[in-house]
Amino acid sequence: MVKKTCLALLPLSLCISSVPVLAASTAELEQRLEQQERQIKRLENRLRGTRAAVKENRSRLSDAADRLKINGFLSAGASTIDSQQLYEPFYGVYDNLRSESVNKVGVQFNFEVSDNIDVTAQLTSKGVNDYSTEAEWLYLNYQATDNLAFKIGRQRIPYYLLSEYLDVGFAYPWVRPPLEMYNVPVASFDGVSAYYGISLGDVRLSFQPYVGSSTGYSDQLENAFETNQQYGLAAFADYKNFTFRVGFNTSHVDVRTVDEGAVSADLITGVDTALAAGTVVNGLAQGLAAATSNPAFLGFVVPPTVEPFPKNSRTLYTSAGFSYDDGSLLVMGEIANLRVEDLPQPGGDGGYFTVGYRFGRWMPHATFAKYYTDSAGDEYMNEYLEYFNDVASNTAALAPTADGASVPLPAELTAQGFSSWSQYSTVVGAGLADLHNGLATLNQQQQSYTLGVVYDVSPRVKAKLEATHYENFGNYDYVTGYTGAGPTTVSVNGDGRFSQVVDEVDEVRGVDSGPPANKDHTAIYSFSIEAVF
Amino acid sequence: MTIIMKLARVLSLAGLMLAASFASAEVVVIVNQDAPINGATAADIQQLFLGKRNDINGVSLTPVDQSEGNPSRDVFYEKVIEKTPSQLNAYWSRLIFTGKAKPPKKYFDDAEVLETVMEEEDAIGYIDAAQVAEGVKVIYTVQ
Repeated sequence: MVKKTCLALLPLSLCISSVPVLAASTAELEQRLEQQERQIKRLENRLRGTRAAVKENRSRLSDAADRLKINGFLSAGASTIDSQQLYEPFYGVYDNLRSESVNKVGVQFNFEVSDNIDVTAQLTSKGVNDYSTEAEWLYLNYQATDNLAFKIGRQRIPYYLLSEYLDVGFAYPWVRPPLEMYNVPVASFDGVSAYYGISLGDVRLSFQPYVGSSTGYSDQLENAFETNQQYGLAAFADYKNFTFRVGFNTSHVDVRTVDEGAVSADLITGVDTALAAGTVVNGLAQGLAAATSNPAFLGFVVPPTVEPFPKNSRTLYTSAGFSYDDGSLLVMGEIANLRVEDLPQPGGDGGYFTVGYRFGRWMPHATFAKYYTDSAGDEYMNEYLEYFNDVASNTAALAPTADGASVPLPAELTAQGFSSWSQYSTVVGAGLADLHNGLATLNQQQQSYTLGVVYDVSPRVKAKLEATHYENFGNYDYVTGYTGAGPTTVSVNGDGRFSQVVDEVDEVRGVDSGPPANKDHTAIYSFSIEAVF
Repeated sequence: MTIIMKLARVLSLAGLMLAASFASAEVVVIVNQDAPINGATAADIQQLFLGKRNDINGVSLTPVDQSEGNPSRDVFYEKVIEKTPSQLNAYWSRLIFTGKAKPPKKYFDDAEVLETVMEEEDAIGYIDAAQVAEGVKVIYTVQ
């Protein structure tokens, strides 16, 4: 109160104090004004000096500080899955509360080499990869014009709307993006990309063509692979609060190395064994038909409808997405289709839809997501499954007759230690049942509902909490054995995008764990702290 | 120079100083006085400061920002850019970590921004309205 009064009186006192000045003589006034003018000049000079010093400092600093930029991001938290039979292989979510699936840190160094060239390295370390440090980005950027830039080196593949900042949890609402959409097992490529942006009125268009190669790891096949001749394009349109995006990618996949005991190794040897068994049983059927002059045996001949496990294939990935963010309301959605030719790596359709709303520092959000292997993939897989079933059941059907008629085993089977057709049929049946059951899980489907909340702890730190319910895994026929009439099966729930927990101790002891007992649903609970710096 | 004019100058200087100490934080967007541009819309300025374009009506401009925590910055980002500090950090992290764009260079305060805009013909910045001086022109007043 007192202060306000003083301030209000200030102009008044100024006026009063100037009264004697006006009363003073003109000469005196003139002199005083000249003094003040000199004072102003002095101050101006001093200011100029300071400005020059600041400028010099700035240019000196700009050399060191402005040319090198260091940014970083961090996620820390934990996740758990509500199932003892299933785990999430992509991030490593198990039924005990673990941090590795969430924890990651990244540091990015950007150095300006010249006015239009800069070099960037982004090193990330993730719990899911045992905290090994990897360069996700490592490139030289050449800004050719205001609208056109080229990057050469290691870069993220722009598969999705968020793919280029997938590790930067601060930039999206979930603890992890929907598994139904964000599941391509390749993240970066080594090559060249261009970035061209153009503004048409209120619409900002940008195009990002790229070409390169990369290496990846398929969790489903437990196998590393290379993709070569990778071409792609991502195109964006930004209009006010909307962003629209489409993406295409095609690549040539080569399986170069196979780990012993991996799913892929089992598949390769399994399919080869199935084909060999097919040849054996076809020979047996033809032999019996000739020996007994009974053409009915020819009905047991299985045409070789499948080929050995392929070493390479082509993939085609198409995606589209949009987002709307007006500061309060956030809406996002994406769909994608992955086609993998000739390789039993699941390809299919996935997508999600998210809505969030900001209430001050809080943003609750909800997501629906869905994934299913497309019919082409299913058909390809089903051809294998049918072939295995036919070979195994025909072997089972012919074995007693062959043993009864004392048909001798071919030399290659006696060399493998077989003494009767029945014995061979049992071994082939067990092997093909395993192969069938392994392959059948690659026909996948699931949908999920996520509810979460994001809290802005500070402008650079967010806290997230979320729960996702996964369901609708479908079911498949699990083969327990073969008779002459066909496979004996039980119907079991599928695994969706999850993997079966294998009891390795039981496996070493040779204990048959029997049909999988997972439910048709599961849930993942997560929390995380996200920061950018 | 007549004495009346000199007197008027001193008084107006005093008046300006008073105005400065009483003014609320009204923020203006400034460009160099030689820049061939006389006005801009909030949308133009927003796009420029978010790195979505690098010109206004064909005039190439480079935005200069202020350090976090300055009163002018808080007003500018709330009223013109319409993003909270948290949203702004999320926005830039999407671009920084993908190498698509870099945020504007940050200067210490109003005085440094004024200085830069005075010296560089293509610079555009925002300062407290009371700090406006010769050598720059105001192209937008934050409402």
